[in-house]
Amino acid sequence: MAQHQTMSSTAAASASALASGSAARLLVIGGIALIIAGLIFGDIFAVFLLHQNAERIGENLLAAIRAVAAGDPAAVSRHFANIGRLLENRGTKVDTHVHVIDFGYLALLLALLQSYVALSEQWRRRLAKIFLVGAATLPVGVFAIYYLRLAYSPLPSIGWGSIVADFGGLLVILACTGTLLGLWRYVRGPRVATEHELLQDRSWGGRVLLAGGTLLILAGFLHGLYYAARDLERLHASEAAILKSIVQEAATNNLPTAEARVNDYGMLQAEKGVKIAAHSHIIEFGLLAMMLAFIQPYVYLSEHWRRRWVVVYLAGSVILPVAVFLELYFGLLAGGVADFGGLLVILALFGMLAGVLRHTGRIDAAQGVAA
Amino acid sequence: MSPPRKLLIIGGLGLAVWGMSFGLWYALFDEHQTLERMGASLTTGFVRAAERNLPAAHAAIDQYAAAKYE
Repeated sequence: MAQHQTMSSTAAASASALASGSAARLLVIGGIALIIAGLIFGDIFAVFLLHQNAERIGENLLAAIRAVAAGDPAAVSRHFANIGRLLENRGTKVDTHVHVIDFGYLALLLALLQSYVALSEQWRRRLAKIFLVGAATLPVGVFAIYYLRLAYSPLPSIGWGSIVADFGGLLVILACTGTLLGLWRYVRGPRVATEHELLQDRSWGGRVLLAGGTLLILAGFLHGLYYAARDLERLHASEAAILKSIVQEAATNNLPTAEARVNDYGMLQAEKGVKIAAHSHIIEFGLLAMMLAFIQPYVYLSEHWRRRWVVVYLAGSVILPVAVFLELYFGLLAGGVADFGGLLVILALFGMLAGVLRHTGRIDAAQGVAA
Repeated sequence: MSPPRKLLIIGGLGLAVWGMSFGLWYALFDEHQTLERMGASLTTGFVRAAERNLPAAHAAIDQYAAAKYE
């Protein structure tokens, strides 16, 4: 009973912030949807493209060194053109994944700031729509870069995919600049200082997400510090040294050694990729946990289910980066566990989104009755 | 709103706008050019090796490493 009353009072307090058609509602729902879309895209990319792509790059590199040994520069160029296309395919997919999720984070952040943005609700809604259109346009453009290439492009080296992506980025920048202007007006204006009701939430879920998020970010920073101090220079120097060794051995027809060095090169790239991915994922999940902490009053579910989704989210946030790091030692087994971690995060976000939608539906129904 | 919160919110959003503006500039004026330079120097390194010109191959790989580090 007490729990129900607490939840009802929190939900009632946040009702005004998430009113029908408000900028905050657009940004909260849009933000969570963007993050879920980005995570699902990332999981699909990891399962169906990442490892296959790396394998094909390795095959083309091996073919290139055989062409070097055979003294065939034309074949070398052909194989490197293939590698370039494979890298572009991989790079644009990673960029799509990262941008969708990061725009989701930014949407949640902007939603939390709405009560401090000293603009009319009409303008705040307009800025939220511009932001969401840009946030959807940029990743679609980035994804299309690999497929559209330079077809019908008015520019010599930038295709339509990039142009569309850059336009999307410009819309997001405009929306953020508008919000910043509104914040500036709030700070400079003669407004009475009020505490945003959502920032006052002290529920169990909010506290656990804030503490968990802070710990995840701290772990990510410490890992980054260790990586920068111990690995960064070594990996950078090793890359050039291995490449020189590959061409040296291939040019002197010592193919077994050259192929062994290609294997070393693959391991080096895997080490870099895995360490950077573990570092970025743990920090991003930490940031997301902190933002989810602030939207807990919007999650209209029983306290039991709210706690369950918080635990599932934090479990996935730890499992995914740790398993990604362990891919260096356990290969695809760890990759599978990482995908499972990603799935937990997605499930938790779906659960919280369902709670937010229930909350908005309740507000709309109440407004309908009042009308 | 307390002064530290003001500073963190304005500063954080300012950093986000700065970062995105830098990203837009990078995507328009630097990214494609750098990627092209990296691809060309790495390919040149292996092509020179196929032509048995190892000093030129090593120099091209150094250029690739410098472009990548940038």
